[in-house]
Amino acid sequence: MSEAHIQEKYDDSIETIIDSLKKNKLWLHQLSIDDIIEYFDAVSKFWKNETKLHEKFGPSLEHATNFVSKNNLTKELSVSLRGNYKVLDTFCPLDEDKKKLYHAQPRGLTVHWIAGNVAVLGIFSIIQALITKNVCLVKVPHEYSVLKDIIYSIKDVNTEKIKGQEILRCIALVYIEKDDFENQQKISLEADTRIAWGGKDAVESILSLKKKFFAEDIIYGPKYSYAVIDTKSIIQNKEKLAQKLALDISIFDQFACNSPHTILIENLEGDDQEIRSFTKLLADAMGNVNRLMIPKKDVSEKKAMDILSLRTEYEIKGEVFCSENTDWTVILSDEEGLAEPCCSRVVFVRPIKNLNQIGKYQNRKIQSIGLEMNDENKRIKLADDITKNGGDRCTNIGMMSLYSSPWDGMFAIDRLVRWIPLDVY
Amino acid sequence: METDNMIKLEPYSLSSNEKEKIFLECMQQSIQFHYNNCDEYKDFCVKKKFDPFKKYSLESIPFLPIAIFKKLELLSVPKNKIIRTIHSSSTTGNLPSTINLDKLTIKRQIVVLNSILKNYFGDEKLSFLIMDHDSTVSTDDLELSSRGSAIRGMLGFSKDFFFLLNSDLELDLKKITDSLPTIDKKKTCIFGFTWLIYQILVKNKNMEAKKLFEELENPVIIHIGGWKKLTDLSVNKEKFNEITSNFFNTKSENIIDFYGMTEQLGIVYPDCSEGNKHVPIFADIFIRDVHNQKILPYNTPGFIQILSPIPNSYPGISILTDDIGEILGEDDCPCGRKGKYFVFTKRSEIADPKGCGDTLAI
Repeated sequence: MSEAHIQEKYDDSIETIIDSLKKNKLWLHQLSIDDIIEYFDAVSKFWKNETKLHEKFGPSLEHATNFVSKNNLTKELSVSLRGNYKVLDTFCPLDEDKKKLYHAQPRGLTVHWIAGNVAVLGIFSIIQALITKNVCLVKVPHEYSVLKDIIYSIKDVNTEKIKGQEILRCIALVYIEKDDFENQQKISLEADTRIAWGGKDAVESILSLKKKFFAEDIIYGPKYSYAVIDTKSIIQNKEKLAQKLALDISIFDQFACNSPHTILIENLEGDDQEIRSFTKLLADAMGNVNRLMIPKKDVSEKKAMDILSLRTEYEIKGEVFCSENTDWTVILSDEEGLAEPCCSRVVFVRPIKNLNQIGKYQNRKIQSIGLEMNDENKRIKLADDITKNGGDRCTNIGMMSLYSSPWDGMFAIDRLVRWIPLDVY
Repeated sequence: METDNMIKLEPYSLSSNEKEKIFLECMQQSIQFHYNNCDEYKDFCVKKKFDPFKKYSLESIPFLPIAIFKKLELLSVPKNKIIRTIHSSSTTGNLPSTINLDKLTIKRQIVVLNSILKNYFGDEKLSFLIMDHDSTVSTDDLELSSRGSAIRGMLGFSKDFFFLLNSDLELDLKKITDSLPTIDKKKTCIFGFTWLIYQILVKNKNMEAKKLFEELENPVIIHIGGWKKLTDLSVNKEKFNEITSNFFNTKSENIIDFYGMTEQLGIVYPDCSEGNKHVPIFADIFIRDVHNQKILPYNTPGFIQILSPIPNSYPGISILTDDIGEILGEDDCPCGRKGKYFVFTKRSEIADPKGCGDTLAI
């Protein structure tokens, strides 16, 4: 078997790469799911101790490390596969009826289109494809060194049953130019599952490609996220909440679907001082995260101008707390509703008099809602109310930026398998 | 000196040192006027901790990013004093800028435009062949596009003028043949928007129209409106000049690119014989760092900030544009004009990465 592919210069044709991956399907299929889980647990331990990798990749790798741990994978698989992840190995019962067995077969070749700015999110779809015994062809973005380095780091992680090199042979990274329609079409037609991460244009372009009639599509398209905090939580816990939100906002520079753009603060008694005080703390926390944890990269000229224009607009009609340069911006105003996203660490803080009004802002474009309520029952009721018409996940504040399953309303693991029932005598 | 006296000065007659005191004085008067008459501008100055009644330098005058005119309607005179509203072409965004003009602002714009054009082209008026359709300028007088406004501004400088395009913005051969016998073929100026001229020339490069223009003797070609659309087509200034000089059978140095903007009409920055753009007495520019907006040294590219006391009806007196340029020097351009000179490099149009957070409008 050949080395894992990093196909940048078309040394091999796409057909050769796909043939090689297909050969490895059988090897992956004969592994037991417990051996695969053990392998990724070893990867988790390896990543945990690799301080250099953590310095390079920051909080995203920490999250991936937790995701591939035995505890987490066992839980994710069980929840997604109706309580019994052994269905990945053989036919198993799923309830008391022992005369009906079920087997979750891999779909085959998964093709992943990864978005440029959130390349690291791609790792989660790749891992989920592998643990469901699917091989992965990954169409990487122009800049994919982070994703490549993370994947390649498992090369020397071995367990008794599985070697890193063998797992890498089930993954091929290919770079295809945006306008290379022929090869884009080729990989789409070979896919048994198409997984697309990206903005509107990218996803529309992928969906317009021809595909196999029975191919499954998992679309992680353009979404908007925000956070809601009730009055009591603001009064009691504003500093901690500001720190957690600063991380949620900064991790992907708000270019990810799960990054919050607006913080709605319940303002029952019209006490603007609490909100202002929270906003200042959030600004301090944004500065600290930028300085100490996740330094902002330079933005484009266009984005810098977008940020400057917004700052000026709200210097006139609100209040702006910001860095001296364009690194981060916190905008306080008494406008209602969700702000148009600017991204690039620009967050809006707005009051909301009645939390029951949030439902009217919900639609299918909404993804993550960070919810902080002093009363758990109130929180559950609100989560139910506001997700009736949209919103794909309600998380704790500070957890918004972390990948979790289900995502965008889907258990990806479930969609990566075909369910086969078997009647037994 | 007051602004209305300053605009009577020769536009490039003072060195930077000589100009600074006069210009600062005019800016101070203008800033105080807008501070007292535009609540939003006053709020903005207060937030920026800028006191227009204390001593300050030109560098410390706060700037409004140009896109603010797409978002807010800023007025420094009562609404009933507005006699014309200009809408920008919105090439770099979805919303057009809206600029409200009163009589005084328009008067100043005309004076400075004539002053600049006279400096470049002399007293003698030219016959203008306009690469546009006449409906662009014949709309309701109160509402005008920036294209219409630019054409109107130039008409005052023409001996006679003819529009050469039909309503589909294609060359109308009859209009060309009708106009040619009546114009002075040795003193002709072809004027239009850069992208429109390019589009016409590419469509007609081997056609009859090209032959008709052979009657003209070294016409001057003035084009305006920026490069965004041509940059998208990978057409740079050199290529544009080559195609244009070939089509109109004129020297490349006769092709003059005007830089200017709707938000500060009247002040235009034509290329000089050395290919530089000169800052007249009525304006000043700084180049600011894209990321921290600090003033950059000469020969370093950044956002172009333009200051001018000309606008009276709206506070567009210190604007940070989204254009990238660099100042090359001052007072020593071989063309002889004094003051700062610069080059316009490009519009800020580098796309940001788009991922799953590239949300649709909420």
